Amino acid sequence: MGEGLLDAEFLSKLELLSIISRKIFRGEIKGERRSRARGTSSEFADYRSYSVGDDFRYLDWNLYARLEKLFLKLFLEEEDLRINLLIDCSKSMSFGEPPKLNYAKKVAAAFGYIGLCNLDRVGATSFSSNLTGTFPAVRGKANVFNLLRFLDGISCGGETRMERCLQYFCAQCKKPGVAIILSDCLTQDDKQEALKYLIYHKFDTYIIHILEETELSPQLAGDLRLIDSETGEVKEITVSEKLLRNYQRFLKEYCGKLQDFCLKNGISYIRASTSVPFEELVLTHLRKSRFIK
Amino acid sequence: MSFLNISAFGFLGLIPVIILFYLLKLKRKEITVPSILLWKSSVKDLEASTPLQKLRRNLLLFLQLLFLLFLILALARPFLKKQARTGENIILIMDCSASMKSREMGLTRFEAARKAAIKLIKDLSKNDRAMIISSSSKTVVECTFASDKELLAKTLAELSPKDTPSNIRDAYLLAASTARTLGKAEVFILSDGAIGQLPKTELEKIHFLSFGKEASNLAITALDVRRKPSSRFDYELFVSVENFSVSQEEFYLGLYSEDKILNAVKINLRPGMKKSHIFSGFGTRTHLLRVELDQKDDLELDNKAWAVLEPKKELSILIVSDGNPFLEKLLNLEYDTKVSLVSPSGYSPSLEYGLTIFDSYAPPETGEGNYVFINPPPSMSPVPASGYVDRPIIVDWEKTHPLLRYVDLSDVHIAKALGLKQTSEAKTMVEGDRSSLISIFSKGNSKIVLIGFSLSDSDWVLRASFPIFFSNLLSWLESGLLTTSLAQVRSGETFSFPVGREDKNITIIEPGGRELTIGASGGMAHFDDTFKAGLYEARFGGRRKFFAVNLLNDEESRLEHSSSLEIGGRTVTASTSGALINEEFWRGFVIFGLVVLMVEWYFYHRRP
Repeated sequence: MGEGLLDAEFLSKLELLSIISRKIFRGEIKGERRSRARGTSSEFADYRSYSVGDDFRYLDWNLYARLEKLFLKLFLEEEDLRINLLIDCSKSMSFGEPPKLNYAKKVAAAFGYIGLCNLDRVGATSFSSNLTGTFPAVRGKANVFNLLRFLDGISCGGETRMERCLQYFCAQCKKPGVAIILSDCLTQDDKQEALKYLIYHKFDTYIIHILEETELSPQLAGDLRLIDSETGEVKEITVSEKLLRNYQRFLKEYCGKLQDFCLKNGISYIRASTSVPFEELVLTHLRKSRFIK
Repeated sequence: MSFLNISAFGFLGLIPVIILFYLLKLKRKEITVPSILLWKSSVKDLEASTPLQKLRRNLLLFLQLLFLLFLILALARPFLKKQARTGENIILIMDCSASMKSREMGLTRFEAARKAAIKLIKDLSKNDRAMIISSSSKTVVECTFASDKELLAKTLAELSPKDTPSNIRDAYLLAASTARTLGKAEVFILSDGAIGQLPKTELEKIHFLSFGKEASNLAITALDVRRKPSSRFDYELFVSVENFSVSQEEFYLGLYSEDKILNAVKINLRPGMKKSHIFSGFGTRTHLLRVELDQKDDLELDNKAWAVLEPKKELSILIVSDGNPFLEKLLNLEYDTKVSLVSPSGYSPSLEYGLTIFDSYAPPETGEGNYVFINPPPSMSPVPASGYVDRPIIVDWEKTHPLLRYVDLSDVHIAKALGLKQTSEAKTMVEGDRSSLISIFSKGNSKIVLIGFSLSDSDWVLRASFPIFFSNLLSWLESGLLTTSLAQVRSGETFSFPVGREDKNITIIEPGGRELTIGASGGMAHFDDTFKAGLYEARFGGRRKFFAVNLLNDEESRLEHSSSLEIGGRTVTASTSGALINEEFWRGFVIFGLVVLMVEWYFYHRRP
């Protein structure tokens, strides 16, 4: 439960990630967090004609000297980024070695840490059939342990009702921001409809589709009675090569459909296996996928 | 297919046990998975593409049950009845008697037997040899031991049943003797079984193939022709007809002379009954006669019978007298008589004459022959006489005797007659008031009539009874002289007939027209090839002689059939399809079971 997230080893890994992420931010992407709003940052955005009552400090005198007309400089509004971590804590997330939930917690912790180090607002919400827990958005590195403590306290239970949960989440959120969903997406309900809520509410959405090895390559054999961990539904199967091939095909289709939807709707999607170390995921895959800006 | 061990099917009770085990075995391992979402889709797709997927699950159960079934069938020892073929030497005895000609359901018994025999031949292996014996009234080895199936089949194809009774016994004894010589042989008797008991022999492997079913038959079982006792000019034909069927029959029995019908009579016969009829009035001019039933039945061979009437021989009469015009004239008027006259002094005994009449004379001795003594001298009288009797009165006479039929002597007057004594040897035909007037007696094959008075001493010659008496006398004598017909034998018997001493080769023409030549010696010819019923013609020395061959055998006509044979106290049961053995084939089921077991093992281990 608590192991892993609050121990020294994990924390040192988080620190390393934050340093690396800062280097990435400085080195490459400057001023990429843009906003349409015009504000008081030092980043020049545009000109407009002077109107009576405007602040003289923003007049462009060089332009006046040239054109003998008064123009006002406009600057980008400095935005306060809100990162929303949405962690699926349904029963299905308890499977895997390590359990998918643990993995999701670590990835969420990594994002949260990086965000807090970058003075972004970071909040977290756990969901299954309902929103089971909320960590209000905080800012600053001092709130790291609070975040970690919250994440650590998340436990599995219930069915996955993504559509309902995201709907509730969007209703609660006053301001959009970045929504990072960490889930196995093994839900009966329509995931696409669920994600549409975030799209509609102008969230910058990222999905990290976490699957464990036995889901990716089942090692089953014989005559089995499969019990759904969430619904309790039973399915009797006789495992054969053909069935396993079918499963792989359907898994690929399932993930492919979701990925296609995300691609079409500007949602960043990445499929992650719990066999991949979380730090490798965060740095390598997330960087490639431009998760980290 | 039948089974020797039916109780093995009790193991079928294991089938529900296996199914129960299988149901228990089907308890699946429970595994909790994160979600069955993808599994549901996978299975559904699989079931859609392979509809028999569910069956595959039961394949092992099916194979196990199949193996159990094969095992049970093997334990039950299934067998098929198969033609027995165990020996190397086979002897086929084909019944070729008349009853095998019986046609039932479109096929004669013999044809059915031949079919079965040909099948037996076909089943011979290359080391086997077969011998074919035909049995009718004679036993003939049609083919000695041969392994050439074509030759054997050809021999069988050329065989045909005869019109004779059977004699399987001789064929059986021949087969037993042959088998003894060989040391090992199987005998097949193909017959309808009307054989009777066969003697015990050393033969062990005897198979009886029975052919025939209940048959319906009317048959002529007896035929005889004779001169009518009451008339020298007429014949009587005696016929017996028997109904061997199970239903009452009504039919016509016709008498034919060649193709001309002479007479017919309607007969109604209950089942198992026999009826006789006498035809007469067909005269002496008819020569070849045939009686025929107008009914169709299973054996038509015995619906006809033939008779041959020999031409009436001329009766040679010798009158030994010094002259008796009444007698001479009377006898010359008779048909078929040749009268010779000789005086007593010129008389010498001769076998040439069928009748010798001594008129007022008696020779010292008489040889073989028929004689009439008219008024012999008392001392020479064949019947002792004591002088003469004057004016005897005819008191009585044997009115019922053939001699005196229709003879009325009441108006006869006699002046003088011998006083014939009554003896035990002589029978008085006409009795006078004081002595016998006419007596008869026999001496060996000779018939002697003694008339104790001279014709001139009475007015008898003037009476109607005189010619009637002599006509009766000739008829009475001819009934011993002339053999009636009988140029007739039963089929299978030898017909012997006299020929001229110079005739060495006799041509016989069979009813079908086939000509044979037989030899003759010592004035006699013997023909034994009487296998076919009908009229035969013998030609020799420019002469022709007809004779008839008839079945006239109620045992054959009864068309009995039997399903078993008694051989030396042992009963050999018949089979219509050949001698059968039980050929077991449980091994095949064991092999199938092993194959199924291997397949089951393969599929069991092939499961993922």
